[in-house]
Amino acid sequence: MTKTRPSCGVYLALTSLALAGATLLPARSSGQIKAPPAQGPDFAKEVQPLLNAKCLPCHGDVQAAGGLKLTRLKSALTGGSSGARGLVPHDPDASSVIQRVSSTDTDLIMPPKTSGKTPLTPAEVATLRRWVQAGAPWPEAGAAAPAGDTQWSLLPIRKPALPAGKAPHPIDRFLEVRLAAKGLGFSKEADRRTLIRRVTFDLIGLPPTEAEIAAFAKDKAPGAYERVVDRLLASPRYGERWARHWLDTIHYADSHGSEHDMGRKNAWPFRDYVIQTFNSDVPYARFVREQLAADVLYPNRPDLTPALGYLSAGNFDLSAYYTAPIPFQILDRDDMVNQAMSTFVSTTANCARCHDHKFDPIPTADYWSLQAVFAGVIKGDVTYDETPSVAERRAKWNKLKEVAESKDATRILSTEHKPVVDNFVAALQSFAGWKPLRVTKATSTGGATFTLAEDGRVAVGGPRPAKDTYTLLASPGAGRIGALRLDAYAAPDLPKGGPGRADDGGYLLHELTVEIVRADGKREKVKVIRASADYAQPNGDAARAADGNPGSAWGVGPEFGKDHHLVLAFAEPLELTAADALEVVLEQNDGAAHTLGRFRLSVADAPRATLCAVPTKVAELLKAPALDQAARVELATFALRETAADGLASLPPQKRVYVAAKAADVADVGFVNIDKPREIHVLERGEMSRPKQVVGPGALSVLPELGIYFKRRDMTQESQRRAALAEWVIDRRNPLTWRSIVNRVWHYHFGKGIVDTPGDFGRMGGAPSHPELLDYLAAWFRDDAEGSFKKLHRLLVTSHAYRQSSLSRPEGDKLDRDNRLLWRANRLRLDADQYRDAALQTAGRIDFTMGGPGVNHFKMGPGPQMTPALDYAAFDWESPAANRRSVYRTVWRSIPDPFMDSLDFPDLTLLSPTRGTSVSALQALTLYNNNFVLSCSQALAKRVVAEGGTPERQVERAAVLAWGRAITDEERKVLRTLASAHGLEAACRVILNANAFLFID
Amino acid sequence: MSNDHWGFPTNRREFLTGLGGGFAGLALTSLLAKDSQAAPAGQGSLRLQHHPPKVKRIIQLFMNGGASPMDLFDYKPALIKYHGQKLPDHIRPEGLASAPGLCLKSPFTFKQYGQSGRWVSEVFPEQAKLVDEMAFFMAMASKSSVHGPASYMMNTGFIQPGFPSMGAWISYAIGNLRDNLPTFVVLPDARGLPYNQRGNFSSGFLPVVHQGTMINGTGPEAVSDLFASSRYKFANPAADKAGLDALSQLNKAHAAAHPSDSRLDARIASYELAAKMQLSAPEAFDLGREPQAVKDSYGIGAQPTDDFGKRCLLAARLVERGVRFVQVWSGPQGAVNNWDNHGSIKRELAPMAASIDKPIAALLRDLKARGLDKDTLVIWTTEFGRTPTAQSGDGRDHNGGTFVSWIWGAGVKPGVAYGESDELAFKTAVNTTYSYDFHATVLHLLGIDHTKLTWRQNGIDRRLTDVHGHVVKEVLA
Repeated sequence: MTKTRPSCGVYLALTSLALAGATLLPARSSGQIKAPPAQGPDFAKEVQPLLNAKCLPCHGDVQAAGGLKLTRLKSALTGGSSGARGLVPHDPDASSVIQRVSSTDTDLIMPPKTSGKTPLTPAEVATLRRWVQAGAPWPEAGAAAPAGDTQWSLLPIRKPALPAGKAPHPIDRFLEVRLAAKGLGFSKEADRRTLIRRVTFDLIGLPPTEAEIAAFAKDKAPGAYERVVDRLLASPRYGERWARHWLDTIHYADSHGSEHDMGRKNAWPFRDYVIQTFNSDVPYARFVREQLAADVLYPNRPDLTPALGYLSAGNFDLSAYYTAPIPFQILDRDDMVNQAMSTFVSTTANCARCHDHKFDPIPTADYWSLQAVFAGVIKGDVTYDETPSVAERRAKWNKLKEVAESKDATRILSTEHKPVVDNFVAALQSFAGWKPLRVTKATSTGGATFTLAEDGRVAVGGPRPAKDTYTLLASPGAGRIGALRLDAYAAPDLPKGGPGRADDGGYLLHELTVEIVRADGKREKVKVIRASADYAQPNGDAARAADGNPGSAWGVGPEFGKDHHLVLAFAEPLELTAADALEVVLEQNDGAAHTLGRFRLSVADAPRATLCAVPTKVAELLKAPALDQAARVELATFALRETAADGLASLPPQKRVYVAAKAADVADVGFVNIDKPREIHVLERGEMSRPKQVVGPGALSVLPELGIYFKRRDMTQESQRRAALAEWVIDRRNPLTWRSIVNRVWHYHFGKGIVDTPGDFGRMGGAPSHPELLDYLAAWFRDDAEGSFKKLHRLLVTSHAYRQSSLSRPEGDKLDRDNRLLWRANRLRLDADQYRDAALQTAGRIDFTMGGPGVNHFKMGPGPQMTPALDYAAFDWESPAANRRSVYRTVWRSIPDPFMDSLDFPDLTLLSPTRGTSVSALQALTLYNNNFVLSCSQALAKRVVAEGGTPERQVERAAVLAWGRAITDEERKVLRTLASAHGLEAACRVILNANAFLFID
Repeated sequence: MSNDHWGFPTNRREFLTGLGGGFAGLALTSLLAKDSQAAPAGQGSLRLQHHPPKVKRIIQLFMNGGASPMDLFDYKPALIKYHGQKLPDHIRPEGLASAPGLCLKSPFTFKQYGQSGRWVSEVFPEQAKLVDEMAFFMAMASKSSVHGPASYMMNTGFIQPGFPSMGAWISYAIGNLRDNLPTFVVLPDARGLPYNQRGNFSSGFLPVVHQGTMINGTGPEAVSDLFASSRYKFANPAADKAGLDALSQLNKAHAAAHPSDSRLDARIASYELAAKMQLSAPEAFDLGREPQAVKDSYGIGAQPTDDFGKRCLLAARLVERGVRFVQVWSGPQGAVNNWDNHGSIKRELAPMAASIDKPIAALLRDLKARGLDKDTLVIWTTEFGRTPTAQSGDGRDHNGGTFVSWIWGAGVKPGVAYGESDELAFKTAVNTTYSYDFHATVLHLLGIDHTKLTWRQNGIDRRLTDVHGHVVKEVLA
C-alpha cells in the first residue's frame, strides 16, 4: 500500500499559522514604519533584510529555534530558552545575537552550518552592531505586524520612481545606484562580435551567422543593435528557444516516466503550441489562462486545446494508477499543485502537504484546497479541430446525427430539418441507378481464375488461396462518377452459398482502392470519403474497407448465403472520357480463404450524401405512394443520418493531443470516468488514513482579496475550478505572478535571477538583489508592456548592463565577486540544446523544419513490458532526423539521452527552472568522443573544404565559423599543426570542444 | 531554484578540511573548489564526513522485483500450518487490486546455519555458509507495494520520482576515492534495465555529475563515449592524443585571455582526467586479468551464474580501484527473469536464486582475499516482500509489509539479526526498518550524519532520509 507520507520538514504541531497568516496581510505597507533614527542603519532597508535572510527561517514565529523569536523587538529582547538576552539595546557585546553571528567557534556561529546559510559578512555584522548600538530601534506600527513579518514577495507591487542618474535606460538607473554605493561601475560595452553572439544565442538559441556578424560589425548607423534585436525577436527561431525554457520550467517530456515509461505520442502539439505562443507574442495573462483553462475560457477556440497540455506535462505513474489508485490520485494532484504554484507564483505550496508551511504563510488547508482545484482533472488524449470553423461544422453535423439517433419523432420531423430531409428524399427518388461495370481484365495474386460475364458479374474459381488480391480493370465510358458499388452475390456453388469462398461462405475485404487509368497511361488515385454497406458484422464495419489499414476489414458474418453490397462515395466526382479506365483493387488479407466468390462493380452519380447503401426497407418507402407517421420517421431518420455522416466525413480529421482536461473530453483511454470533482479532505500529516475536514477549491489564503474567484464560478464543475485558478493567478493585484515571470525572463538573459531561486519566493528562497528593479519590471511588464514577452526582452537586452563586457576587473572581483550587482556581464556556458544546435549550424547541416511529432535520436525496440528499449548509441547521425533543432527531440523521462545529460539537460521528472553547468571527466569524454560531435566535426570539415582555399585557410575558417571571431596567431599555429598531422576533421573536433565554442562572453 | 550545479564543495576551506589530505590527484576538484562564482549563498553545501568512517566503498546488490522473504531467509512454520487455508481478510496488502489466494507455504526446505543459527532456504546453499558474517534486517518495510514507487523508495528514500539515489548522495557528500574512474557505477542486468529504468540511479536534483554511470558488459565499450567509434577514422589514438594536447593549448590561451574564471580551468582539467580514465577504465573492466580460479569461483563461464558472476567480479575490481559505490542489479524489468515471482515461486524464484548465490558468496570471499573487507560494505536488498498467500497457483503478489536485507563487511556486527516479521511474514512485528533507517545506517558507516546531508530544493532542505531515519546501532560493530 502506498501511503502518502510527509516528504518535507520536521512536523510541527498545528500551530496557529492560519491565524498568524491573517496578520500577515500584504496590505500592511512599510509606509507605516516610522523613520529610523539618524545615527543607526535603516531598519527596513538594512537590518530587516538581514534578519529575514539569515535568522527568521529558524527564529520566526513558526519555528522559534531555541525559543528565540526575532520577529518583534519584545521577543528579541527576551531571548530564547538559554536565558541569554537576545538583544541588549546600546550594548552589542552583551547581545547574544551579535555574539553568535560574529562567533569564530564553528559550534556557536549563527546561522549554523546545518542551516545551509552562509555566515554574515563582516560588513553585515557591523551593520547589526551599529543598529544595536543605536538602541536597536524596531519600528512597530500599532497592532500591525512589522513589515519584517511579511515576505517581500507578498507585498503589493508598487512601481518605484526611477532613481536619479544619467543613464538613459531605466534598468541601468536602478543598477547604477547600487554599484555606486559599492564604489563600482559598469564595464564598457562589449565589442560587436561578442555582443551579437551573446544576444543571438540568448534570443534564438543559435550562434549568429558569419554574414550577420559582418553586417552588424559594419553597421555604424544609430540603432544598429536594436535592429539586430528586432530581427531576432521576429525570427521563428525565437519561439523555439524560449519555448524550451518554459518546457523545462514545467517539466514537459514525451513519456510517462516511472515503472511503465510509455511514450506519449500525442504530447507534442503542446510543445508546438508553446513555440507558436512565444512567436506570436501572446500576452502572458492570456498564456496562463489558455494553459489552465482554454476549454472554459475560450470555448470557441478548439485550436487552443493543446494548451491544456500544461497540466499534464509531468510524470504519470501508470502502474500505481491501476494497482493503487487512491495514493496515485493524491500524488498526481500533488504534482499539478506543485507545478502550477511553482511555475506561476514561485510558491512552494507543496511544503504544506503534511503541516502548515514552516516558513511561509501557507496553512495546510490551502494546500488541500489547491488539490481540490484539480480534483476532477483527468489526463489523456483528447481530439480537437484545428480551426474554429471546422469545429463549428462538426458541431452542426454532430447535432444532426444526434437528432437522427434520437428516435424522437417530433425532433426528427421538425420543420428545422425538413429541407434536409426533403432534398435528400428527392435526390434518392430521382436517382438514375447504378450502372454495372463490365470487368475486362482481372488478375489474382493467389492464382484464382475469373469468369467475366457480359453483365459485369465476376465469378471466381480455380485455386483457393488463403489470401488474395484481385486487380480488376473496367471502362465505364465518358461521364461523371460519384461512387463505386460492390455487390457480393450468394451462389449455390460457393461454400455455404457464399458470397465468399471461405468454408463458412464468408469473405473479409480489407482494402478496396480505385485508380483512374487515363488514356495516356497516367494514373490518379481516387479518394474515398465515406463507405457504407447494407450490413456489416460487429467490428467489421464498411469504413474498414477504405481506411488505408490493410489489417482491418469489412465482413458480413454471420449473414452468409445472402447478397450484400458496399458503397464507396468519392470525395470529388470523377470526370472520365471514353478512353479512360478504372482499376479497382480488392485486398483480402485474412488468411483463411476469406475472399469474394461472386461480385459485380457498378458506378453512379448523384448528390454525394445520397451515394450510400440504401436498406431495402427505405428503398420500398421511397416508392410508396403514401407514408404513415412511422414510415415518415424512418425515412427522415435515414436522410438525416446519411446527411450528417457525409458532412462529418467531409471534415478534415481531428487532431489528438495529450492533455489534462475534464473527464468527458478525454477520449478512449479506458480510464475511470468521473463526472464531478472528487471530495478532498485535509489529510493530517499528509496521511491517507487520517482524513480531516473537507475543503473546497481555493488558492493562497494570504491573498484574501483574490479568494473571490473561487466564489464567482460554479465550483461543482471541474473546469470552472481551473478557470478560477487562472483568474486568481493573473489578477493584476497578485504580487507573486508578475514578479515571478519577469524574474524568470531576467534569469535567462543575465544568467542569474534578481531572485536567484526562480521557483521559490518564500523565506527559504533567495532575496531579490534589486527589489526596486524587480518591482519596476513587474509593474512595467504587467501594465506598460501588457504582458508582451518581446517588449520585455527588448527592454532587458538593450540595457547597458546587458551589453557590457563579461571580462573580469580586479576591483569588481574584490568587491562583488559573485557579480550580484552586475558590474560586468556573466559569461555563460552553452546549455545542451544550444551546444547541439550550434554544432549543427556551424557544420552547415541544421534543419529548420518546424513542429510535428518528436524526432527520435535513438533506435527504439520493444522492452520487456510497456517501457521500450532505447538505444541512443545506435542512432545514425547522418540521417535527416539528426539535423532538427533540439527542441523537437523526443525526451524520454527515465531513459534520457546521455549526450544531452552530459551537458546538464535536466531530469524532467522535476520542475527545472534553471539549468546546471557541471564539469566532469565524463562530460569531457562525451564531448570528445560522442558520435554526434564527431559527425558534426566531419560535416564542418566538409563545409570548409567545399569553400576551397588552402588547407591552412580551411582550418582557420572552421574555427572562425565555430567561434564567431577572428583567431589569434597562437590558435592558428596550434590548429594548423594538428590539421597537417591528423587531418582537418581532427582539428574540427578540437574546435567544437574548445572553451571558445562552449562559452558565451 | 538556483543550485550550485557544480556539485562540489562551495567553500574552499571546507573542501580542503574535508579532504583530510588523504586523496591524491584532485586537480579537477581542487580547481572547482576555488570557484566561488558558482556558490550562491544559502545553498546546502557539503558536510563531508561528520565522524570517522568505517566504510569507504560500497557494493549494493539489488534484487529487482521484490525478493520473497519467506522463501529465502524468513522461515515461517505458520505458513506450513495454514497452507491451503483461507487466511483472514485483512491479510492483503492495502490498496492492491488483486484478490488474495490461499495460504502458501514455501516450496523450499529451510535449515539453520552457523553459530548464529540463521534459517536459510535451500536455494541459497553458498550464502548459508556465510551467515555468521552478515547482519540481517529481518523487518524491512516499504510504503508502497508497487514496483516503481517502492524501487524509488529503496533507492532514493521517496516514493515519488525525481529524488537522488543513495549513490548520488554519497557521490555528492564525499566524492571519489580516486579520480580515474567514475564515483558511482551501475551494473544493470545484461537482460535489461530495472523498473524505473535510469530513474533508480538518477542524480535527481543534485548535479548531473553525481548520477550513476552505467557500465554495460565488460568490454572497452562498456562506458559509452570512453573512446570514439571506429566509424570515425580521424578519431584514431594518435589523433586523440594530439587533439587533447592542442585542445589544452587552446583552452589555456583562452583562459589566460579571460582571467578570473575558474570554470575555464576546470574544463581544462576535466580533459586531463578524461585521458586518465581512458587509461584506467579498460584495465579495470578487463576480467581476463583475473586468474581462472577466481573466475570459476564466481561461476563465470557457467550458467546460470555467468552474467551476475561477471558483474560481481567487476564490482570487486572497481571498488578495489577506487570506485566509491557500485550497484549490481539482478533481474530486468518484466514478467520473467527477475524476482517478481507472481507465477510460481518454485519455478521462477529458484533459478534466480541459483544465478546469484554462488557469485555473492565468491564476492564476499574475494573481497576478503583482496583485503577490501576492511573498508568495504556489501548490501543485499530488494524493493519489497511478497504475500503469504498464493497467486496464480504457487506464486506470490507484492507486499511492502515486510522483507529482508542484509549487510556485510566493514563496521558490521557479524551474525546478528535486527527486527522480526509477524507469524506469516505479512507485516513487520518488531523493529521495523524503513529505507530511512537503512540509508541512515549506511551513511553513518561512511562517516555521514544523514540529517546533515542536505540540498535545498524548491524551498525544502532535502535529505536521503526525508524527515525520518535512525541509525540502527544493533547491526554495527
